Amino acid sequence: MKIQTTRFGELNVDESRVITFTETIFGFPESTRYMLIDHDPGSPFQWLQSLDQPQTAFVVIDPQLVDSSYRAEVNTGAIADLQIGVPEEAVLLCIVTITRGCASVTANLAGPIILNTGKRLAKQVVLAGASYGVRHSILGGIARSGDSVAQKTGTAASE
Amino acid sequence: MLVFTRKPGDRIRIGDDITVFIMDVKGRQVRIGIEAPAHVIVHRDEIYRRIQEENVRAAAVELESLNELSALLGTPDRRKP
Repeated sequence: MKIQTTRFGELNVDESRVITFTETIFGFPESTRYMLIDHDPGSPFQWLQSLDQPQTAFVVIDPQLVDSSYRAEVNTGAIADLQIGVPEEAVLLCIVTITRGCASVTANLAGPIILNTGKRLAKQVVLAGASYGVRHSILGGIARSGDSVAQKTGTAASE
Repeated sequence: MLVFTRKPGDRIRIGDDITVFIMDVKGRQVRIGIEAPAHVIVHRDEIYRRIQEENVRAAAVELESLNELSALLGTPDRRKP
């Protein structure tokens, strides 16, 4: 199917890449279908592009790259909702906010997105018990972990 | 909206399996207890609002901003042999 997007123009989307949100991202009730678009080869960032609203897209990152001790304790309801059988089926993504000129680059660790990679089901959850913030500064963290990201990519390529 | 007037010690039932307890009233603060099944998610409204506001800010990020950030992060790596 063909999708219009504000940032990427017209995209030809393979049905198998469509991610359906069982509950919409807070504040975006009109977007239930999204797809992930790689930013650059080797980049830790991806775009989560709405297929329902051309202008709606979020920069996302693996929260482990922001905080290696990151843990999301998720309600059993969410696990059932996303049909997650074993933890390995789930992937966590955090939404990143970048202000103009990269003056501030923050990740929302309090409201991660959980994605069932096999079933392509996702939702945003609230981690109220943990002390994670909605604006966790990541610029320093990513720069420092740049080497480990490069190493990971290198390992993957050599395998 | 359904509005009740309740006293400390009173309860409100929502459906078959959710109970709201009015525990204590001190000045302008009310302590509320909520008993609900594990699949029912209960949070303070503020955290939802903070996440929603941050989502709206994040959705305004332009393609150029991530390109700028990537250039910023990528430059040191490219200089390496």
